[in-house]
Amino acid sequence: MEDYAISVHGLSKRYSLGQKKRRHGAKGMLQGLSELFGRAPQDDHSTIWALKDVSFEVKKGERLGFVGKNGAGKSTLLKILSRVAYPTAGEARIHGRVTSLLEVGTGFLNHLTGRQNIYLNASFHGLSKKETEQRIPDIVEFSELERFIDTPIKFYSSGMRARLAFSVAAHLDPDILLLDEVLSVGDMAFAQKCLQRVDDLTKGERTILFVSHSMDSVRRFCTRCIWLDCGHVVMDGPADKVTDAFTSDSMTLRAHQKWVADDAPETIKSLLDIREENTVNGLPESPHARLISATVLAQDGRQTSTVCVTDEIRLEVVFEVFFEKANIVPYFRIITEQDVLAFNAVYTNLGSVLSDCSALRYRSVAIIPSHLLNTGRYFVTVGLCTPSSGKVIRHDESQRALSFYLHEAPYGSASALGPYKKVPGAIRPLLKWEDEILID
Amino acid sequence: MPSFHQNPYEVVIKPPTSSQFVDVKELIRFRGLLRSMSSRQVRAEFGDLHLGIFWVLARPLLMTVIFVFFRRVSNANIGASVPYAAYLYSGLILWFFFTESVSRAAASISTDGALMQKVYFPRLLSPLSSILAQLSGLAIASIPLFLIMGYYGLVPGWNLMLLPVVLLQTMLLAFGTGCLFAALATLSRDWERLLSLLLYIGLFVSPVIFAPDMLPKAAQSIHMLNPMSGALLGFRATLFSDYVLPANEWFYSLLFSGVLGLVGVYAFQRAERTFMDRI
Repeated sequence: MEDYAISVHGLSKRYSLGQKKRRHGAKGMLQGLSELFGRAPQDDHSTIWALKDVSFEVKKGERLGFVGKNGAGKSTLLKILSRVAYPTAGEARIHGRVTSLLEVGTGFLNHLTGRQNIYLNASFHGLSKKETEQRIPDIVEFSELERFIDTPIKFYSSGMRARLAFSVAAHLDPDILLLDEVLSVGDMAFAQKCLQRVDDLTKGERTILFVSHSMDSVRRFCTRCIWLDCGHVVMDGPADKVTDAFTSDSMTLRAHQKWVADDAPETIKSLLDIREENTVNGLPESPHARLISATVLAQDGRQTSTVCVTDEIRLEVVFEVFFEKANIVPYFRIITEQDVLAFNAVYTNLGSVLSDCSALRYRSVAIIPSHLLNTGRYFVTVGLCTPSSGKVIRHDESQRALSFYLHEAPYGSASALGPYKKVPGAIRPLLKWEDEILID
Repeated sequence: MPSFHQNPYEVVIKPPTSSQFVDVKELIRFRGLLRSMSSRQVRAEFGDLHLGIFWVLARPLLMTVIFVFFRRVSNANIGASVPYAAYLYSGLILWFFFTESVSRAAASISTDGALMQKVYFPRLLSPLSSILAQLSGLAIASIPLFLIMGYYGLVPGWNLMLLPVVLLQTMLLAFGTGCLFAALATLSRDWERLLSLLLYIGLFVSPVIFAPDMLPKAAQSIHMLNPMSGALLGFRATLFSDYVLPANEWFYSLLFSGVLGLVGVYAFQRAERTFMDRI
């Protein structure tokens, strides 16, 4: 038997945008008839390719994530694989039974009770009444909806529907599970439980295809990831590599900034010579230094725009001091996506090579410890100043020069996330907790 | 369904082609679903209503009472060879079975559309199940028929053996018509109006309240072009022993049903493909 679960070759899907002019009267009805029995619409400006020539293979037991912007074709692809939409070209071969969860409430009918919907849903997947009966206790228990299972679905909240839908899908014993954004609904504890179940499922040779806008979920649960854009495969590879690339592309992250070209160091200095009469502390008026470049580095020293919360973040700045004994130190300002200052990183390494500057180039690296910042996007403002107890003299500053994205820790490793999906706040330190039992 | 569940199988997803017709094997594999979809509709029909059975019986019974009264007072010659009440009531229940089946099947894409976007199943199960569900109404409506037949001392002959055949033919006709109009309904709502007009007028031009013998010869042959004529007359012939089976008319009706069934299924599949893309 083949060792792949899904193989997709040149899969394409064209949607009609439906801008065709409709005629009135009997002519319009006849036009409709010719559309119904005649040829399919041809490629023109009123059509759009949601998928274009997509090919990939999924091995059995693989957990494949799909990332991409809205309209990149992720949901279309999952729809085709779950056979609710037809491809326009290409083919897909699927080995094994497929269960798909496309958005909330897959195939539930409002007037039926939870239990009746379980039967109905199971029969869509080819389970007999008897087979369903055997699974009902497990499904109901997993969904935690014992009290409501004989209540019509129309009284359910969207979270309850999602729970029931996931519980059914997870117990249908599929070989291949297609999940589209399903884990983004329901409460956090249940989402965690679902992920655990997905984890258990994949241990038994099950294949999972997973569409999510949450890079953290993809990173945690997928071994491999495909980045789709405008119906094309942009990148296909290990989940962390692809999500990194996608995040830095979609958030326009900037891990490196350079202000001065290497071969032109003299230009500003000559300009400064003019102002030499106006002196501060025996030196000309600021600036006394300028920024050359700034970079976000990972723990291992390579340039990166996405960092895991379990890793240190290294902010590097290269600058040039114009005068001897200038007393120049760098600073960073870390700003959250909501434009809130997370903290100011002031220079504290007194007594180092910087304490008595010469007119040279320097490189400083500030190390932000792991488990300090929360997940999400951060901006970095970098600057140079002369510290003093009075007025701080700024020599150069670049607002939001750098940006990076902090992503969640891999599933199972220590993080300050706890059982939650997201914790608010600019920082999220991993604290030590001490507990003891008190007896009166 | 063992074949489906125990063996891993391969599904090939390809662009639909016109040559690709009904996958009968797949329909058989999904027969459990057909059953549960039909029983779901039966439950919806009778479960939600406190007077479910009353509503099924009220229409044909009241119409029978009214038309029998009219015939009495007008002394009109209907041309039926069996007591009018039995003739009329049997016609009405088959006619209403047909029209309900057609209109439910024609609405199947719009009622099950939300489901079709979420989960795969052979789409033809949707109109098919709505027609099967209507059999329950027919079964209930035939109880008064037996009482009427008993009252007049009417007994079925050997032709009763053909009753399932006639019913199947009527269902095939309803299926074809339903599928065709389900497909057309995705294009424009005009077709829904046309269908309801046809079904309404059909009651009066089909041999439901009158018998063909009432009509002049020329009108009789035109009226036999209506595919429901053969079905209605065939239905009576299987119920009443002294009612002659109109073989030619019925075979014409069967042929018509077969052709319409193919056209309907073709149109339905075409419409369903384009319908899914419009979401």
